[in-house]
Amino acid sequence: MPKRGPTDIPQGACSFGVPPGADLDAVLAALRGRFRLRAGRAVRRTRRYFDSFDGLLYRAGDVLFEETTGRRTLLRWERLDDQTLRFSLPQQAAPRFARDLPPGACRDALAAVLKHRALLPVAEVRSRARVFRLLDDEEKTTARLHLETDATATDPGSAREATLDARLRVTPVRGYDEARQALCRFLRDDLALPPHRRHPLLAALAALGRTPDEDAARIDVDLDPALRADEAVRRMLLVLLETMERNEPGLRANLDTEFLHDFRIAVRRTRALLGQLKQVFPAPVRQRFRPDFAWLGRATGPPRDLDVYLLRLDAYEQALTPPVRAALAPLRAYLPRRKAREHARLVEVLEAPRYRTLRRDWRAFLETPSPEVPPSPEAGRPLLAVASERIWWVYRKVIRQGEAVRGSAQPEAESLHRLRITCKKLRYLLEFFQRLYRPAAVRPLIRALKRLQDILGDFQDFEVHQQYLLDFACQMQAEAPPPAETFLAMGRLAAFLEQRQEAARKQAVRQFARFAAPKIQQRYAELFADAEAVRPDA
Amino acid sequence: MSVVAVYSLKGGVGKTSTVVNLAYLAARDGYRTLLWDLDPQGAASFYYRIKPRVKGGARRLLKGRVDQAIRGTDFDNLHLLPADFSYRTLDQALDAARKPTRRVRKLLKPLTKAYDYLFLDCPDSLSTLLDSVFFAADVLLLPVVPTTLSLRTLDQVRAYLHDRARRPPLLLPFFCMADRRKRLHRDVLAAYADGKDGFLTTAIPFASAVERMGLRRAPLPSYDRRSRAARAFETLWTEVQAALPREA
Repeated sequence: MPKRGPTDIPQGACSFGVPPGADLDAVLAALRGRFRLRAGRAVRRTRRYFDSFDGLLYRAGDVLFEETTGRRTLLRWERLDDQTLRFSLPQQAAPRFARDLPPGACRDALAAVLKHRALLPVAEVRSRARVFRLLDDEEKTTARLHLETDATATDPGSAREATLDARLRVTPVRGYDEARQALCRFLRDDLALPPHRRHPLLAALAALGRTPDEDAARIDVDLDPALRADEAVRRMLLVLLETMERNEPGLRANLDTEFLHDFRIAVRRTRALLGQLKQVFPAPVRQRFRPDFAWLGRATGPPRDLDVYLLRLDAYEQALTPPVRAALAPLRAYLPRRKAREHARLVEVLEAPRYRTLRRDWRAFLETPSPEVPPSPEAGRPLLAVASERIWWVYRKVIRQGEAVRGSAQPEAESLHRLRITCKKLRYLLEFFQRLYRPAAVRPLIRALKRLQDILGDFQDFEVHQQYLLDFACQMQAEAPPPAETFLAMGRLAAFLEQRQEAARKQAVRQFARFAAPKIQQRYAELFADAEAVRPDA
Repeated sequence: MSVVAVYSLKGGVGKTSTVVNLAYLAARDGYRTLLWDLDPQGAASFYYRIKPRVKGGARRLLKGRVDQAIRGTDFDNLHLLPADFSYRTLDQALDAARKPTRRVRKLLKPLTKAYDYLFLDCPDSLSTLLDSVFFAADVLLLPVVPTTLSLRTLDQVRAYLHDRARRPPLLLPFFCMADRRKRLHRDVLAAYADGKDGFLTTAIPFASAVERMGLRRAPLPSYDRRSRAARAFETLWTEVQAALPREA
């Protein structure tokens, strides 16, 4: 007989399935014969699970839910693996964003996981729950046994329902782990009930035929370096189209800022591929789709700018004195109104026949098998050669433009802007094709590029945000003129942004110097300059 | 984490029943709550059916192994750090330690992430331990029987805090064991009805239901939430929450 050490029952909560048709009364009678149990009242219990669209909580190993028992509702945050409690709060209304929670440790921790993403319902489980307390000689609770029956899981998206098997769940009471272990052993060994450690959320999702990370953002495509270039690019473009389509409903409903962000990036990446690898598709294809994607990209610009403005405003205001901050209140009130308007315009674009036709034709083109005879010499070349050549070309363009910037004492906004755009193209290419090379070799290149991009992005944001201020002022003046103090305060804000922009200009030059370091140049040359010499896992 | 200490210079004024019931209400509201029974008599531990014993006693506790002694209670979200008879020597042990005033605060530091509320049931003497508790607490809740003598002890505590405390907690006195059949009680309650001297407006009535908690060994609102005393604890808890300094 195997030794029953304390290790054969894992830490934390443990569930036991009760097979359909099993006699629950007999199970309870057997338990009562062995343990001192006190039954609580049977209550109706509803758990509503939340996560972001892209499953950030799940990926962090966490589960967040609202639990209603009788009239009381709590917000609980557990670990996915052993169901230990991380946070618990009294709950009035389900929070949409981390910022909706009262200030405190729970809000901070949630904000760290979710960033700007909204919480969306993942699943709802209604059940009849009864808690049995395992007692010691002092009638003190030493473990809890939760019996859940008549459970139904609902998928909030499709309203589909699934019935769940009855289950017994043992939860520990701190400081009395022996009692919990004894109870678990009895259920497993004497009653032969199958133990499992799966969190009730995962059981509910499984019953609904779902997996928790089905919505997780997916950008990587498995690429075969020997694949024909046109076929490979087609597959990547299809993934980008799917990203757009997946984000479209949340974008239309304006659930959070990240749907628009992800949609916009997918559009940009599509444009980058169409533009950077233009030779792999015949000219009519490019002529058909490039203008339409440019149009779509332009439509997503203003609402995204407004989002960024709103997200940054807090930080901007911190740099101003309290009276100036107070005078900015009308601007703060104006921005969401303006955002709503820009969002409505974008929704109009998404409903326009031009967009619907674009989506349909684009998908039809991407799903058509590549012609057997490559339509152009470029299309028939192996992907690795085409990708390396292009990355090397764009990289040298970054260096060329960067050297021009470095050469001038006061680089112009225009030339920094051009450099930023080229960097972006290089970044997309590196990210698209990184799987073709040794990841460990490409990653440092992406990191160095990202640092340069960040500072160029800041420079651009400060520039654009100054320009926007004038536009906002004109619009506010036309709609409902705010007090003069507000305009003065906006002037102060503009001055602050200008100051920051100047700092960013100088930093950009320094950061480029780091990016252009001989070590990084050499790495680019090794990886991309001679495509024929580079093979994966070489 | 908010630290609420319940203290009275005078014994038998309902200090332990207050801390037992408030900690229960905090946990019931969903907050992760810890009750630390610092009173060597171990009454709060008794109410929660937990043996008043800490392995290694006061000395080991002061070395910082606080979390090993924590026990779950009969209620979800509510944990208790039991009393130990050796706590009567906590003072000597503290006096021997370095920076005794900061000691309790330091001991609590590892718990700040794990709990939203910490309730301290303090022994009824003024001592080095109390100095250390006063330094660690955000709020000092003082049950006062509505009599002239009790009000006098309140003044003594106030004066003591004024003279000694470097980081004085927010003082929240409230009336306890208020007996409306007694004229003196009625007069005192009337005189303080408008929150004079920082008194909370809730008065806990003198009720046999509170006394019988010792027989049930459970917090009153957990089995009799409609009783007058239970409702009074409920409003007291609301008032305490409103008075607590908000976390930034």
